[in-house]
Amino acid sequence: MSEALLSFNGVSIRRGSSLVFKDLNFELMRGQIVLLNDKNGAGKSTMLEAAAGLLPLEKGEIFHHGELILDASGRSKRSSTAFGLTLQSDGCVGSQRLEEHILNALDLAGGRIDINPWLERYNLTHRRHDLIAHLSGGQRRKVAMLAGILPGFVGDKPRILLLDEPAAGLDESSRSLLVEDLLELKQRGNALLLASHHTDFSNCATHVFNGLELVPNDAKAEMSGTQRDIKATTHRTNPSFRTGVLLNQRTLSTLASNGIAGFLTLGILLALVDASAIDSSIIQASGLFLSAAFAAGLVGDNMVPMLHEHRALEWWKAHRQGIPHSYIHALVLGSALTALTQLGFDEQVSWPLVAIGGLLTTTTMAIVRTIDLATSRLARPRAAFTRILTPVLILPFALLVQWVTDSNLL
Amino acid sequence: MTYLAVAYLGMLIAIGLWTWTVFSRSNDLEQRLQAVERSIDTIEPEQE
Amino acid sequence: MTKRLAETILLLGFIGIGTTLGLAFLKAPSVSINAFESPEAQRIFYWHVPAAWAAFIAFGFLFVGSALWFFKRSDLGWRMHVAGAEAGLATGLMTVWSGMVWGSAEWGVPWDWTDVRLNTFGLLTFLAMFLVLGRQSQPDGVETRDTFSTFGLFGFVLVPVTYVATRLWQIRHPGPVIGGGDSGSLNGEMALILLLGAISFTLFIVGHMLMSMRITSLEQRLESIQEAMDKV
Repeated sequence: MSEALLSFNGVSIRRGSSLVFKDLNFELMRGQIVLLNDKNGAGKSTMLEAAAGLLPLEKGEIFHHGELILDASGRSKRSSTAFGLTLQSDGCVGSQRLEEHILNALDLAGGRIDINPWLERYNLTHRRHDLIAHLSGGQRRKVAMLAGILPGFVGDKPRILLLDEPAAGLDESSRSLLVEDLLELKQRGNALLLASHHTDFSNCATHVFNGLELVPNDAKAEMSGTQRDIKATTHRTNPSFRTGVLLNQRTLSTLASNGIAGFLTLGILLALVDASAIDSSIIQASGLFLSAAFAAGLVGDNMVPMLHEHRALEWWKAHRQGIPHSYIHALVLGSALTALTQLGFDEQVSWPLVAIGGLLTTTTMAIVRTIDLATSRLARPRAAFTRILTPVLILPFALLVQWVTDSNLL
Repeated sequence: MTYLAVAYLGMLIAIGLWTWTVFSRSNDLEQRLQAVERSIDTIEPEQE
Repeated sequence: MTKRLAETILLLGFIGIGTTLGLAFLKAPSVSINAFESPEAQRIFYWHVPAAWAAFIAFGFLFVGSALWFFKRSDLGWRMHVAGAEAGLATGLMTVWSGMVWGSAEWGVPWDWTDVRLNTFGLLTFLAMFLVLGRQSQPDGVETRDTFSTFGLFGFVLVPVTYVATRLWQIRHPGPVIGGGDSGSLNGEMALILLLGAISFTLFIVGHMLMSMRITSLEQRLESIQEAMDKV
């Protein structure tokens, strides 16, 4: 039973201007529920987020199942056994449906189970197709909590479950149901790290961590009934890709932001440039035809601001299985814009140029998205003026236009 | 010649303004620091 | 003590810059009409060249500061980063702006995408603008410092990348014809004024960076006192 699933090895973490942990050594064993119940600001969330590999380490290493997942030099790796995670701020996007977020959590864990019993248990069945934005705060918390605990029921291999205030805003009956679920998860051999001030959890925790050492806890609550027989099916889909496509289709965000920029550029070009004056053998023609696609890409990926809602970006980052993106939509949009621009100027559509337009929008979007993601650690990432850096892309665009002209694609 | 004189003068004024803001930022901060330190000094004797 | 020193250096630099510009305008000899399309516009060089030199110092400061914070977590490094970014933005804008004034007089176009130095300075100035505005929008902390020093280091990469991109562009796309002539030779008087300009700008920018570093440390002191007061 004494297998360490999560270990902190001499970990020091700095947040803001203060050192939250210094040389912290900590081990979370199979079948343990460790409760963090220190006062506010003591570093409970920092410890959970560090355990999820979300915070850079000043010193030390963090291991999952004996595999190094993060060290102080910034080396990070995905553990071969996925973990469950509930962040303090729910980690789910408002435009997702309730069941989609829970199924994503299961797919990231590598298998699916029937979620109906849980939706029923927590009185969410009638809401399963609702957008998360339409739920009350307490219901949203239940979704975030289920996404954190359900991976523990998938398969026989014990998992790490990291739960930050899973019961915040939950009523008393839901809290007691959660305690029962946690006890079963423990019984199944999972290792739970739980931050909460609710007294309900002192009854089920095997240990309490006081910031320095692990103190055994006299847990009074016992699991009632028998362990449920839960069938899991293996599921091989890419949840981040699927979520990107779904969110784009639902919100039309790429069309609404990148598309508008592209169409606006096209409109201005049509208003100002005389179509009869275009000579396709000179550089202006290819530059002109690709401008709308370039402008569309410069807007960046709207998925990034969307994922900043309830810190969903961190939730995806922690699982290290990709972050939802809009590349497919960018490809289609860029191609369409390039074709439309050529048609708008009464030219024959050059299909290679259409493909180049699609790739141009996608690549430009990917670069701007990378810059946006690089600033995601900031306290106010949306206030960071990342677009000031986009002039860097002008020279590469000019080179592409020149190359297209030289290769006689038109 | 005229536009050159204007450009020169404009740039001189611009860096003059920049220098001015740096000086005023520094003075402002010094005053705020002094005010805060003074308030600490008055709190501490009262506590004693 | 550092305050007095910084202020003196800065004011000396400022006076020096004023003198240089006065001399450039009134005293510097005119070059022969054939050498330049717009002979009078060359007087902008007495501003442009020393400003570019000062920008070079400021960006150097920024990169060294960013590296010191990123690799060594040095507080001095962070102060250098902040000072270098602010000074880089100011001098970068001066260089680019004066270059554009000269370009429009001499080449007929304010910007030339085939000119390596113009592009490098332009992009570095945008980087400095991002660093200054971005940092001002964030609370100070290790997350802010890590992020912006990473972008500061990105400037190191930006220089050779811009160089290669501009060269490639230059090979493929002939630039505007730049007035030929013997622009390489400077007579004694011109060189002297330029030297005075370079020294003045150096003093000015070093003074500014010292002031800026002092301001950052004052801000940090104020913040730490306020934090201590929050806990009382």
